[in-house]
Amino acid sequence: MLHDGLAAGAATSAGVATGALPSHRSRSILPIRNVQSSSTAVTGRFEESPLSVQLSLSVNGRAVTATVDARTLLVEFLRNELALTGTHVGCDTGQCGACTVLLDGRAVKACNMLAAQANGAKVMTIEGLAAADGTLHPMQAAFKECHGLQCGFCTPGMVMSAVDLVERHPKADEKTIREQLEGNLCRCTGYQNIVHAVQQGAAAMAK
Amino acid sequence: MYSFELKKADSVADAAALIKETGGKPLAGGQSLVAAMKMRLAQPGTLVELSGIAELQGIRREGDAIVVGAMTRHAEVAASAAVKSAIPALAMLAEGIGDRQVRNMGTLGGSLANNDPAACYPAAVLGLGATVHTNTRKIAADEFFKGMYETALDDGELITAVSFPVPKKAAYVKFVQPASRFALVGVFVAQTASGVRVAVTGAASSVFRARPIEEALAKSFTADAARAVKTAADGLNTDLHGSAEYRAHLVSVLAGRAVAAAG
Repeated sequence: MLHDGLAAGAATSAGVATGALPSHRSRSILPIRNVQSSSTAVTGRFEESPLSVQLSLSVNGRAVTATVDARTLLVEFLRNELALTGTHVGCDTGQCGACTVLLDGRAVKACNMLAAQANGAKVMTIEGLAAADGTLHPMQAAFKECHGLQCGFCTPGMVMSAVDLVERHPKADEKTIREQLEGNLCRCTGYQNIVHAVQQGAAAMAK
Repeated sequence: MYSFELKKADSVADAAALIKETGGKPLAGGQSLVAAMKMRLAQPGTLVELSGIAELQGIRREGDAIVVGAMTRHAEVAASAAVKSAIPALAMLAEGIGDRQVRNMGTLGGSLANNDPAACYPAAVLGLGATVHTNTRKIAADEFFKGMYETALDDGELITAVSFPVPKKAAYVKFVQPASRFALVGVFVAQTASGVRVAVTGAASSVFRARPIEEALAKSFTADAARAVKTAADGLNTDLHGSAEYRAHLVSVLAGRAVAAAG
């Protein structure tokens, strides 16, 4: 159910998020309640206080409102509050790019920004990329066909970064692709097939 | 990260008032500040977010200068037709900062206020003899950078824009530290109306002008003239990535490459 990321994430949140997170983040996960089909409210976790912020943003096409601790990182908000665990935390220091999401169409590192910095913006995560009927985005399909992943941990960030890369450099050659992927690290060192996948994905996106 | 209060400013005046009232820190793109806060190297009680301030955005040509708003992202400077046609070296420098994700968030004003010893933008500001505009005054580049992470900015003073005079020719060449993508050494060379300027980042505790290379290039604006200058290692950085002597050598070599690239 890639197309329905919020709902899909909520359904699996208890299993995915609570057990796997480090102890300082092992608070119970609040299930996401779909208040309306087009909007999601996350409430009840944080009391409003001087140290909280009100968030109102779009995530994968759905309106989301929430009250969060001001220090909440965007990646923490996506994973822990919305249970969108496709966005990964790799290095947690802004180096590896596993947490890459699109913020108003621009690739950014969700571990190196506050959720509040996305207030009012449109956020797209890997869960929002496929079509409504589940058809993979051309870049996702290219990564699958080219075996552009080994362990797969960096893949969500690679794919989101690649989508932004191709939007900005539709005719990127191999050298440009390698330069532009500088912000995404693959510890399996599977770059050769990743670059192939981006080239194939770019060709498919141009159609 | 320690807790803090977050306040969003609507205007420069609003931001200045909030900072004065709270003793808080301004938040620009956050690419250095958020990372520092995560490591508890910075722990402001209040953050004043600047991203909603329209007057800090944008790039415009004003006479013989390109004026870039403080909250303009690196990617916007890199892609700007106005910058590319007037000061291509500045667009190229912006395109080489960090990685694409960092360039999509990081801002000119944030980079300058932070004054990281290995950041790229300080080299362009000092190399072009730019003027830093703040909410209270205008500061010449030669007066702005004071030391490691230190600038002439007073507490609560906000950068609003930077005015870059269009040079006759200029180029920036960076020797990248491949893990951080900061400059191990970066050299910005410009031929300006007021003479040749050579600014070096990454080599010392703060960006500085390489006067001996400037003097050599004033006589002969050639790569060989720059390379022939033996840069002194005194006061340069030694760390696990390179010794002061290595950095000193790079300064002259990169200055030569920048002269060649400037054409």
